[in-house]
Amino acid sequence: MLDTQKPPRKKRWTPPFDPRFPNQNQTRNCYQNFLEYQRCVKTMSRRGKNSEPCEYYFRVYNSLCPTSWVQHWNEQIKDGTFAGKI
Amino acid sequence: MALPLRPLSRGLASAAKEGHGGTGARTWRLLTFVLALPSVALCTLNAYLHSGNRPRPEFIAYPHLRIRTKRFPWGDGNHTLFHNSHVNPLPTGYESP
Repeated sequence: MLDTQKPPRKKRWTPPFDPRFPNQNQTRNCYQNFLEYQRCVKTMSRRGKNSEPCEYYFRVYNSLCPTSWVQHWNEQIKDGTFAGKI
Repeated sequence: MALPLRPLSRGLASAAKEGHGGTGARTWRLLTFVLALPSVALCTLNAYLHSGNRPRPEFIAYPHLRIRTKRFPWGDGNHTLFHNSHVNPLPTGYESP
């Protein structure tokens, strides 16, 4: 059977289980990680450090959030109308 | 609010009573002049002391505020019913400087 199937793909990365958001509604998980990423980048650049540790939050929210939300929020941040506390 | 309001008001009333004889009109008249009206006077004083012109918050065009999906049925459709141009901005900003 194995030769008729496609070769096994590299396993895709998904965010690990977050006990703060155990239920089906992951909206808050998405938003929280987006905020954490923005705050992380802001703090790291203020301290003049490399923002590589923030990439975890980036990967999580990009996995979880609808892309339209991410685009919308990034536009709002650029315009200065983002309502979240960063 | 999720709080049950009726037991709360009953509790407040019984706390204010502070244990007395009967439920006559004399009691409530006394409470009116000793408790209620001084409280009103104190709150009025507090409000007066906090009043006065204060700097209004700067305008940021947040998309979740001042939403206009349908025009208001009065006026030009853009002003709220009790619009105060000194403190209420329109979706585009404050009207008066």
